[in-house]
Amino acid sequence: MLLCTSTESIDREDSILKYDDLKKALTDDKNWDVPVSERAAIAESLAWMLLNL
Amino acid sequence: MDNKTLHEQRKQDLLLTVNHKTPSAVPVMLNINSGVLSYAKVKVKDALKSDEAFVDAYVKFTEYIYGDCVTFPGIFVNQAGYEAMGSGQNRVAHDGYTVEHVQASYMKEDEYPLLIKDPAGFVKDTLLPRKYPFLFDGNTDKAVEALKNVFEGAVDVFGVKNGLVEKAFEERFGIVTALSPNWEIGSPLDMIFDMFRGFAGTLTDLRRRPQEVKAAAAVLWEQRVDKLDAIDDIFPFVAQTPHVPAYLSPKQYEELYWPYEKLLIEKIHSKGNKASILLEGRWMHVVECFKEVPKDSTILMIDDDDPFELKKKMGDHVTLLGGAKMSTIILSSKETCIDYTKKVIDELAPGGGFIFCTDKGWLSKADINDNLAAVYAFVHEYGKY
Repeated sequence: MLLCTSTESIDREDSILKYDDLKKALTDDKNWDVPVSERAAIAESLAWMLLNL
Repeated sequence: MDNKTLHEQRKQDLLLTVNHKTPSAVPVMLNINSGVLSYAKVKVKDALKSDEAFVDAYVKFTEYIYGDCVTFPGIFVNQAGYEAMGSGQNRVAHDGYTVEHVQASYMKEDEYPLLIKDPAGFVKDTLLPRKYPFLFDGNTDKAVEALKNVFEGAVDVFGVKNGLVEKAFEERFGIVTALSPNWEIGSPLDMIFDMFRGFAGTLTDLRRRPQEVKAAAAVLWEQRVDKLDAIDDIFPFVAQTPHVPAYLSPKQYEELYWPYEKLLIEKIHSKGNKASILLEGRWMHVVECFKEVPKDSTILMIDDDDPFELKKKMGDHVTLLGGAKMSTIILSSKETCIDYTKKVIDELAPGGGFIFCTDKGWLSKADINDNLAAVYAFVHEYGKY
């Protein structure tokens, strides 16, 4: 892959939600054709996927 | 010969050469990536519109370039996820073909105690709000929609489309996928480099706060690195794409990288499989570590190291994957490319333990060219034992 390096550090002290709030909202979502039983694990793995996206 | 028989013969040739036995011919490895779509003149965003379009565009280059086997089939960017989030480290470049990596690191140098205490909590509640503020600003519907798009983009590319390309290679052309999409060697120091502190941060931290880096690596090893217990077959091989070793001193490599690497190679060997490790950059200063693991446990993919020197130093103990240099292929005459390739085969092929490949993946339009096709056709003929 082409590699460029930049650093970026944005402070967000004013976040309203926590990731676990998003996890719950994703788990409760009524418009998603993923089995409810799998959603919590998906949300956990998504956190790491987002960091490396 | 039908494609099923051809596929099996090519797979057996790979298994022979990685055990330093003589195959029927030097296996010819296609180092494919998104650049192959340029041969079909179908850009990534258009290819992604349907499974059929993606597969047909992706495999079209095989009418031009000969190959027995491929590294990983498909593309390695979640472009839908990138677009849903509006930013990220990996994306398709403006030419429409090249996958580029633009590193962006969100962990501060004094935050190692937070990472060490609770890696998952640190990622979820500190780093993600910095990286994607919109997820946390109270608009839950928008955030959930974005998360779903990231997940579905990953499933579509990594789970469906890349799998269909692998199937098409096998069934239409008898081409073998050599590296597993399911098993992968992870390294805690590469995680710090890739996901937390980046290039500049990690290399600075290794000098200013080495004990914190060491402690963070130990925690990530325990909590995040797959110990590869699920490996249940000898093939396809288990790949690793390391990034930080080329920048480590031998002392740093031996202390912080090799202990974890050695454990995973030994685990893979105990399962009868092989570790296929990309030597990104130059590894000559640390490569003799691989003599500490069993003979024929490792396949080393050559990047910028001298293949002839590696053959002399490591050729009896490991399999070498590589030999061709994309810079030569792109910048030299066809005659120069063929002369160089002949020397590669003459010196690296005897005794097995060699798979022909390029040093870099085919990421861009310029990578797919007449010299590449000529070199691969030459090895197909000249590489017979």
